Amino acid sequence: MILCPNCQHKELPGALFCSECGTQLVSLDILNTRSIQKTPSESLNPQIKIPEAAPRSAGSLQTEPTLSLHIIDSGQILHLAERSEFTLGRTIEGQPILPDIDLSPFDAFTLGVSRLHAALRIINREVVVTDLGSSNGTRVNGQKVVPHVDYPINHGDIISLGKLKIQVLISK
Amino acid sequence: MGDYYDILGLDRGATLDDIRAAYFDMVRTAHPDANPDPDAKEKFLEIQEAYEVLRDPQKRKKYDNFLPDAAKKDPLVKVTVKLSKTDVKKMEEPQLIYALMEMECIAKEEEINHPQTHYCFVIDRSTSMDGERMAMVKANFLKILPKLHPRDLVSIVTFSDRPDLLCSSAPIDSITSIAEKIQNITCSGSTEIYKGLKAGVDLLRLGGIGNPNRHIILLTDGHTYGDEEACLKLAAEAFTQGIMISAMGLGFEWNDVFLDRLATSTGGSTVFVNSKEDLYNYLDQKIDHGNNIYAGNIIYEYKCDPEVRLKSAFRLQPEIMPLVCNNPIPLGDIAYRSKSQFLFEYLVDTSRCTKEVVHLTRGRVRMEVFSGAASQAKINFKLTSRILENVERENPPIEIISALSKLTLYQMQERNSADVDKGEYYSAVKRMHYLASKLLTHGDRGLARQILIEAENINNKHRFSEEGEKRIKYGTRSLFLLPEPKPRIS
Repeated sequence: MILCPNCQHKELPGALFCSECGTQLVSLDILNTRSIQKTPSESLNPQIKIPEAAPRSAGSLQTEPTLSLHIIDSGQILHLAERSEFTLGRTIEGQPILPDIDLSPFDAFTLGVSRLHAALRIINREVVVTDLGSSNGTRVNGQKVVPHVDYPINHGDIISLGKLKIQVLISK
Repeated sequence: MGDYYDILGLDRGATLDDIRAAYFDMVRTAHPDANPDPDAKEKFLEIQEAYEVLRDPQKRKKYDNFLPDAAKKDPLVKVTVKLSKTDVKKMEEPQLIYALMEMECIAKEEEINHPQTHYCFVIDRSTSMDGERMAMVKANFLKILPKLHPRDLVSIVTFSDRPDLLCSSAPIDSITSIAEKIQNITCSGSTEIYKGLKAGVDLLRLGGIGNPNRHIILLTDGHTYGDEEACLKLAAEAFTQGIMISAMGLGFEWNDVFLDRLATSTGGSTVFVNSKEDLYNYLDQKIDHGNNIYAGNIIYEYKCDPEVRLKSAFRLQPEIMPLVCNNPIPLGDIAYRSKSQFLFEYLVDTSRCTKEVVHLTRGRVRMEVFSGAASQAKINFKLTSRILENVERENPPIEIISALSKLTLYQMQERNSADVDKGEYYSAVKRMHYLASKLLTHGDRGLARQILIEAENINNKHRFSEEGEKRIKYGTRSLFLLPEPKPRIS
């Protein structure tokens, strides 16, 4: 017997859909992963030293900092906005909790990124990274962090989820 | 007994490998040592003889030349079958395998003449049809009759508690007198479908001799009482004579389950007519299809291994219809340049099986090709799966997934209706909520909303509204409708 993951209805082996709730019971290799919008960035050389955080006028002091992620291997930049907490991971079909940011387009699986790997949060205008108990751990500038503990990070720090290196760009 | 190809169950285009495989397959069961049947020896010798000829290319060529022309030509219909998995895992419990069969007509239209089609419209003129519905029927018939091809014939029977013959085997050029007669239909009396159907079938049976393509189109808006079984028997009889019955239900009171059974037992279809435009479109589609017909009376004969049972069968294209799992199954007809799709669900029990391969089906599709002189044609095919202790995970073909994703929704609604009939309101309502959310993901907001309204109805009144039930049933069915219905004509 197969148990439908959605409504626990029992189906005969070989069934492709749950007859009770219509859920598809087989997953195809052709993943229809929802990939986040990738904005093509200007060619950014990862060798370049950390750019200085642009000083802002006094008026912008009260605004929350905004985050951008620079995926070092592919050179792409993801701009994060409108929230103060982002979970990072990769999506596969049938996964109950989805990460906010799906890194599977960046080869996340082979680089050892867990499905829910880490979270980036903005607390009191400071940015912290938390490892969410990932299999291969998270590093900040090469230093392994303890899971479920917040680590403050600065503009230009490089965090590694497994082997996937991401530079965090913060503009305050 | 048929020719050598028939004996081995092969096509005329069979390769040497096919022939060898079929031969070894058959001798294994037909060998007199293994088969106690007294006729087995004779059968075995026939197989031997057939194989001796067909295995030798030269003898085969000589034999082919000697075959009559009609038998030499394979029908220009391509049949392909896809399975949801190629190997079955040996396990204690029964498992499901889906087979998607596609028939595609690859004949070129210019080559062959079109056959004459004899349409018999059987029109309900009971009291309930009076007023708007009859006006709708009349108006649409006037519009649709000129579309019939000059070679076609039309008969019209109206019925209430007795049948009336309006016109019989009239050629299309007498169209003005037909139109006049249609205008003069008056409505009174009750609905007795058997009476009307019998008159229609008799007419086609007697008047339509030598006319291969005969089609009854039944238009009704009501339940028939007490004569359902007689109707079904009549339909089965009509089918053996090559007459197809399609039904159109007007309004919301007609008996959909009954009309479905009536139509499918002859390979026809049922549609739900909800508006003037619907009726026009359906009639137009029917006639368009009839004008392009390539072959009809298509049946599917099959033999399954004892471990295999055909659990359900559906036609997906041109119209989705549940099929009766009799043997043979009527599959309807096929037009030029068109495709038909069927889905078969097999239940395979490998628990007590010691074989290495299981034949899901050894079957053939038979059809009557209308081109010029009507001729019988057949296509053989065989579905086999290996039985293995361990199978590699494989993806079912995307076509099967996408067909089932829609079919499942229709089946869910069928179960909702069954649950409501049994009084299991809670499970019906729960399933309807699932169904609504699935429809939303398919992008069908209107239907989803309708379902939620009906779920509310069931909670309060413990039944569907008749309108809602039909709308949902035919709505979930029409998720398949391909090609899309033509744009409405005002």
